[in-house]
Amino acid sequence: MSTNDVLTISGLTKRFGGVTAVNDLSFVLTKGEMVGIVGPNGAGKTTIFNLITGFLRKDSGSIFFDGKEISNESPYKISLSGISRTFQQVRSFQGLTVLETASLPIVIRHKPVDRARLLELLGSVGLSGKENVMTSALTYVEAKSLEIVKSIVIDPKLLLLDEPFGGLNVHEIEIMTSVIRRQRDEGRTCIIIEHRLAELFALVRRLIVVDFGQKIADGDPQEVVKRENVIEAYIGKEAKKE
Amino acid sequence: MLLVIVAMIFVVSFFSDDYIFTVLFFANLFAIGAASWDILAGYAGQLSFGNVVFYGIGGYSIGLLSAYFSGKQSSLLGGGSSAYSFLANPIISICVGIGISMGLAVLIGFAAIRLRGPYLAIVTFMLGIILQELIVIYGKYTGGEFGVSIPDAFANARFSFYVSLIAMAVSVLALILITGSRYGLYFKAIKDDEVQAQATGINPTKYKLMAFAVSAAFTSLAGSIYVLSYGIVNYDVFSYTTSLQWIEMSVIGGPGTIVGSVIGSYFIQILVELLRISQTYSLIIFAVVFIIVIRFFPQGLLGFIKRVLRWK
Amino acid sequence: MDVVQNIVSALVYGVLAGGRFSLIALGLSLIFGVANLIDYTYVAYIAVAGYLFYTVDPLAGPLLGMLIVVLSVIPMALFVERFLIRPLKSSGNQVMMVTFGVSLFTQYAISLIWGSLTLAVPTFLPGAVSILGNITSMQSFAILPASVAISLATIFFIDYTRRGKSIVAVSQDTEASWLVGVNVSSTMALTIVIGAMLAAAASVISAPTIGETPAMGWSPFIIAFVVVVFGGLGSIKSSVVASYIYGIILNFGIVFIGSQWSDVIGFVILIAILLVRPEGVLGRRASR
Repeated sequence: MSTNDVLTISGLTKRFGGVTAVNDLSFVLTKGEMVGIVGPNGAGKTTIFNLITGFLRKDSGSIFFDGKEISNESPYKISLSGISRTFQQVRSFQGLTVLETASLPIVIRHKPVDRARLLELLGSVGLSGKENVMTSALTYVEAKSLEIVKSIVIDPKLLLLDEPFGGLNVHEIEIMTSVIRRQRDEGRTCIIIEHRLAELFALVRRLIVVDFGQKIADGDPQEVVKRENVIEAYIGKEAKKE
Repeated sequence: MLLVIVAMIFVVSFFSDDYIFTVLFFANLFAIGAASWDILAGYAGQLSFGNVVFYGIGGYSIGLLSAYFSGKQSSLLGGGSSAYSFLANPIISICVGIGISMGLAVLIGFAAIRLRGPYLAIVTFMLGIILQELIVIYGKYTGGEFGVSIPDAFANARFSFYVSLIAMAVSVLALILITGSRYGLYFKAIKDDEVQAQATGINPTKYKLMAFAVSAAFTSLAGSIYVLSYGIVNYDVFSYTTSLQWIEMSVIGGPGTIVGSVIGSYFIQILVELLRISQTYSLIIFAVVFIIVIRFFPQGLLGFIKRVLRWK
Repeated sequence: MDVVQNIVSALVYGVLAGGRFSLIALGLSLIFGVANLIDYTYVAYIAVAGYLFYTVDPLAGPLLGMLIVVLSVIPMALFVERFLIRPLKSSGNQVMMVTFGVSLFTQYAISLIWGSLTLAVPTFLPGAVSILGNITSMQSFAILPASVAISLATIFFIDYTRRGKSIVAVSQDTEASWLVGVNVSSTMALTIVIGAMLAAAASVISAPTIGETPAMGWSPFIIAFVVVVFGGLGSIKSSVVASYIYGIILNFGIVFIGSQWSDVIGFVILIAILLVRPEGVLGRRASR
């Protein structure tokens, strides 16, 4: 394990009753890498995020972040140690304003709030002028953008995005892509779960394919996508149904 | 909002009627109880049906410390030694009550507040009943059903009222400041979406316990003042009906707003006096109103007023 | 000799108490344990059933009276579920508060209609019975077989009938159940109704052995809650087993420490479970 490794996952396994959601998963993430995780629905992708961020307990395996085993930590401690995430279904604080939500991660870490920088960030996702609006009044894409801002505002060492393009129209996807690209350019280590392969390929240099909780491919997106087993995972399911 | 409180001080000091002083005395104390409940339930989202426990602890702190250490005669128990008479000092007793209440809140809260569900509500409810029973069991030391009286109660209703008013103003002010601070943000975040709050780095257990402890502290203060004024305390002070009244006041006044609880408290207290119907009838009416308000007016009176003002 | 006799007493009365507890806990075990719904109206069903039975018993006799009471709880449960619980489902806190309000309303209404003095329902099974030297009334003793019978019936319902299984399915994964074709809202209504009926039945069966007061619903509710948490959420069987264990523990406490400590013992057990093993002795994990 070199000091450039941000995240090292080995043999990670999680079972729910009779179903194995994550099966002996292993991969290493180095600093600055932006990786995409794809796979058919129900393949266990969000479960991986939940395991990394402490919302689920693993059954076996290990998760090393920045050199430390984090798989038994509470979610809030993992967040404080530098892992930020967004959720597949946008979660927001109905009773807080946009600015309050965005500054919350800073406040809880007892750091001073740089209002100008916050406003700039909010502007970059299309939320300028809305600092004092209640999150409950935001549109879906605005809430999604706010969630992204909230996750990057404290400069996390690892960013986990769960379907950032979900539910967005073409124009909104453009904005989201530029936000994520900016993160990549700034050297943010990031894992993105997505279904929209075209948009994802524009951003990531490495693709991990997961099916039934198992890693079935890991490499260059263009190359991975042509592999037999990957195609079968996606299409084979349709064929098997008939 | 502070203007509301100040205005009340003015309006009310014109009254010279003992009876009205008593009504408003309770309105003030219950405002503290309701507001304390609100910071726990309306802000942090943790429902407690037994906050009255801390009211009782505050009350019994005054009663028992005075009975044992004041060196003066009190009804059922001997005057005790006056060697530690500083303990009977009201201020000290109040602090002891607050300390015990906060400690209990953290202990009980640690068991019940970590889990999502009705646990805190039921545990606090049970605790009230348990304490009542314990008081009877150890009647020899606590005065049992008959209670304890203290020798130096407040002189008259007017004085009691002023003390309660100051206590209410201080408590409410403190609560408003807390909810306006970063902690208020944490509470609201936890209530709105505990998962997202955790993902943001907020330790839910720590701040839920904090809300609970704060709630306990001020409720205890109210209980202490009640006993200081009335001069006597018995196990009825742990009755869960009081808890419900605070919940009603907070919900009807406006949950999630400290001021709403104050408004709710005054509204209900005054209404009860005006209507002057039998105890049970008024209880039923308020239960029905409570149900209707929760079902149809989640924002309570304050929300309704705000909406009306917005239309204008 | 004396100690042995005390232990035997504790065991005997413990099992009898366990029968009572498991009966009263069945409904809550279904509503809260299995279906994970929070419903304080449970308190009201107990009280309403008790008082209705008091009124109906002299007119229709115990068996018919029981039937009438259990059936009359149904419209109440349906009303509460449809108009108070369902619209507020998104906020557990609001459901808790509104149902708490309903229970208190019921308590006050009862004291208006029937007064607040303790009422007694005449026993319908006369005589006494002696078990291993410990005497108990026939009425009390009869609760045990009734409890076992109803418990078995409920377990059978949950584990083996389609309706019962759909209740479990809905509570575990609402969306998946809906996709499979289960009518989610009527299943929830069914859960509450059956729970209410079980509460009513328990109340009626135990009625002759306890005095009735308007606040009579709270103690059984608390016992039921402790038992359900103790046994573990998610399983009727574990609540039943826990009832007997709890009954025995409690009676050991009564015999050796004194009966005024019963509630305290229950409270301590509850706190201990919450601290150490929130999933109860046999059940699934309560969410954190």
